[in-house]
Amino acid sequence: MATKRKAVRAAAPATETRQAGTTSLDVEALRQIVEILESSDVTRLVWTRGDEKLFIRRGHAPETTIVHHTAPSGPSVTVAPPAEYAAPAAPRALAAPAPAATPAAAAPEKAAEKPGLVISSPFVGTFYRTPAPDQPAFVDVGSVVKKGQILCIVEAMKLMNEIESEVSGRVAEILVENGRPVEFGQSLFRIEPV
Amino acid sequence: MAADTSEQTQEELILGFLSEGGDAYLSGEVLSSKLGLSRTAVWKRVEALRLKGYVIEAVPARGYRLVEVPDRLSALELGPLLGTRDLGRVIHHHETIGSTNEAAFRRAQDGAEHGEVVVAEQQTAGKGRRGRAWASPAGLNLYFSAILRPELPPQRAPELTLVAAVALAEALREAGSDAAIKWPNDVQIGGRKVAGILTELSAEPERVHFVVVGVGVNLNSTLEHFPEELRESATSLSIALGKRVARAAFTAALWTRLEEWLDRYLEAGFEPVRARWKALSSTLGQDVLVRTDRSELRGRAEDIDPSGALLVRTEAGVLERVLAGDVERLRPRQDVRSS
Repeated sequence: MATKRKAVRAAAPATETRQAGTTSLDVEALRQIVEILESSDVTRLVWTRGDEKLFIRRGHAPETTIVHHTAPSGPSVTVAPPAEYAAPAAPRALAAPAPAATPAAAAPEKAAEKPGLVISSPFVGTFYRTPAPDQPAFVDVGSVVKKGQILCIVEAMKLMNEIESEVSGRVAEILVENGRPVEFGQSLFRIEPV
Repeated sequence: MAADTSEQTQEELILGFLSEGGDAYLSGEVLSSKLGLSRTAVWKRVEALRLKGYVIEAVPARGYRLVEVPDRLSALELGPLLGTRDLGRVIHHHETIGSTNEAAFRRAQDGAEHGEVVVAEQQTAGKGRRGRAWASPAGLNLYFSAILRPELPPQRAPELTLVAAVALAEALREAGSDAAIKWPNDVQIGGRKVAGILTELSAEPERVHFVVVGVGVNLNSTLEHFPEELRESATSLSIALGKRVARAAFTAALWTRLEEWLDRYLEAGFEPVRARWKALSSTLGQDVLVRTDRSELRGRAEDIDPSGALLVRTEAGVLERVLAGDVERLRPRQDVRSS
């Protein structure tokens, strides 16, 4: 419980700093909050400031992932869960960061605008950059890879899928952290032509 | 190579006829007419089989009788016992190998067909999940990797690991044990691990190229064969039954089950597999701890969802969907399966 309080305290100042010049939470502040949550054990955060109420719950049932309330006339942001979890009883993947609210969710669009090819996940699972926990990563940012070279493993229910690069090039971006859950179709790597 | 293959086929046929005959003698004349070979050629193949460890009795004027089959898992021993259509119809048998999964993956990349199986008497680098080892001493257990080419979108491939678990648990129960499945696909007897499955996939976004289902089953290992740190948590079918297990017969029965469940899954979908998995599971209804590389989760394992993911209800009442991780039972229930 101690970590929970600490993380919440840490989240608030970061948000307030960004808020100084604006009237409501902006995307950058939200991004910072989510980042802090991700690196902690906190799964739920309720934060009220004036008319604003921020409620974040992560790794849980999707019905309300993030709702950002403001005064009735103000803008309201509701982040919907991914379609495959839309069924009422379908819970979220274990410890998944709220996907549509994290930088990773914005990444596919950002990555698509950049040069090169984006490699995405073939199914919902866990992303591993190493063949085993005590071994070096298959590739790092800057690694030059050949077509067919293994980039990572995605695991679901003890099925291991070694994801190969579809092209030769250089690893420009690694869009997911080792050990994180990934969604079907989520961008994993951006490979740039050399 | 061609001569070797046909000699092997002839040997398989001779073993098949002798097995069918049971304790009865089969004359050299009958054998030679069934095989279309001279009696001398039949005798040569029988001699070759004897060198491989088969005990074949030959009595003048009566014929041949199969007395003892060597405890090996090559096509010669498995062929006569197999009732499958595709699975194990081609067997790549190795006395010793690094890892059957590695070998099967390479063969599949080189074009091996659906149903081909790599079997080894011993693995020197048996693979478990996330770089872990699978203890694989020689001649005691079953280590194989089956190459499957199912028509499935890659997203559904993980369901195959539960298909394999159901087949494995059924085969172990038919052998007389009370095997149960720990999510997703470890098989245990009395809470100790008797078998593991490691599946590897090669796919492109729209299509599965192939799946390698690697299975290790502890059949005749005794406690001394396990690494010290596993002696509390591992077992073998032989330990559970208190008798030696006929490896070839078990293997043939398992492959039959595996092909049946695979057919059912591809025809009717995951739902029948899910229902059977739930009936064979030791995880559901238990309080569990789920560990992944970077997080832990505690709760009651309630169900598996329509894709096989484990649904865990936390103390806060939230239902979590688990796709990867090691599941550990927290408080063994006293009312069932206390043996």
